[in-house]
Amino acid sequence: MVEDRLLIWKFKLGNRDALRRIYEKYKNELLKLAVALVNDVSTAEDVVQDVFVGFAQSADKIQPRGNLKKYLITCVANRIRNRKRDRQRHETSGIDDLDFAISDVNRPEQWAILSEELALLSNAMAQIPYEQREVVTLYMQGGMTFRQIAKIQNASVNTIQGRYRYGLNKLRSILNSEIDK
Amino acid sequence: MKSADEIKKFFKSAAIDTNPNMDEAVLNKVLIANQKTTNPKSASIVPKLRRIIMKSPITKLAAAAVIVIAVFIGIEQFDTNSSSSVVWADVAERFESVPFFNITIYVGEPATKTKKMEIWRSEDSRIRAHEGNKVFFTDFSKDKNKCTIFDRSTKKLVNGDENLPSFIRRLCGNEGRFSLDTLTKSFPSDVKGIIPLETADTAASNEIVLFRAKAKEIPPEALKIWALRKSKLPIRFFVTPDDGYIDLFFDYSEQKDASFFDPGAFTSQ
Repeated sequence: MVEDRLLIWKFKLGNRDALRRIYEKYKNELLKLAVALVNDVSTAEDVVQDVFVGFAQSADKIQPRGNLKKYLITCVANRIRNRKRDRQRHETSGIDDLDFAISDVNRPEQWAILSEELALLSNAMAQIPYEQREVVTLYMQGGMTFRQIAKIQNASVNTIQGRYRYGLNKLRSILNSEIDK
Repeated sequence: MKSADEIKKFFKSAAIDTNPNMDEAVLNKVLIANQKTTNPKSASIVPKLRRIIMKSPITKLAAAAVIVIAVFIGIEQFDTNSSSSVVWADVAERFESVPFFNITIYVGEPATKTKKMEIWRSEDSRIRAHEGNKVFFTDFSKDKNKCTIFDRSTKKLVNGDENLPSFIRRLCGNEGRFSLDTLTKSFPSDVKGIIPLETADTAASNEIVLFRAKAKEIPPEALKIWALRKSKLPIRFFVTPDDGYIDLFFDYSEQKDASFFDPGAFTSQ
């Protein structure tokens, strides 16, 4: 926490090494979170890249008091929600979300390299509704509280807890059946 | 997998790694985005902070403690890493901040003799260049697109107010300032970025960083840029478009006198 505050402070004062350190510290975590949310490596990479570029451009808006990790995680979640909304606006085909199957073939300029476990987790997550998936991911991986997630999803804490329970049950049964295979 | 804890463990064990070249390329974009929006207002934070600290003795004490901790953490966390990785944005930015330099350019084309050109830039943005038997003088602080040309041996005016020769224009575009990004963009291919080229961990690689272009049409060996790791200054730029090559060597060691950039002084010598 202290290190993050110092990094934000330096970043706000124009220190490029601080920005570099923030990027190096959080890029993997954000990529993992984005992959779990969208189940598409390429989209996840785009989202995380956009988040870092946006962050780099907003030194004057960021408060050193806040929690940097949660701020960045929220940016990723919001950006994915916006993309999902834009996509749904453009497509009337009834596709539920951004899901694409994860390809085993690595693109030449692929940024994220997924472990087997992460690919399995991402595919399993893709099978649960987006809002439940977001709650489970933000709570389990992002370390956010139900109250914080409730703010992001603009819902009550009870609703979020319900989504978490349903999402977790589904995820558990999917993972169990995948592992049994 | 039964409990939420087990799922949480599975979440944590699901690892992700990244491609180092892409890491650098993305970081480069991030740094460029930051550079474009550098906030000059940040200096105003300091007086604001001082007012808050000076309000009470408790905050004075707390601020002193924070500063001591911050200094320790700062020294440990930053000093060891500050020069370890150099990205293209650093090199491009550093080059634009250099007050004077000399660039020697070699252009090789099939079936022709290798051409040599030289460019000197003064601290006050004046340029002198040599190409074959011609000497070019231009002053970027006045007219960035025009130059005066002399015959090198007779010292007679060949042409006044000519357009800039192409080898200078490639380096400074229409903006009248030397930029490595202008140079990389002047090549007819889709250069999407400049990223570090992985090299063997040798003594030389501790001193020098090697970059390549990220482009479908350019193989890694066809465009290389060498920069000093410590100072982040470019020292060589090599590109092989088609069958020929262009090789630029950068030198920052000698500052020429003002008379060297003066066409009048040149003709009267």
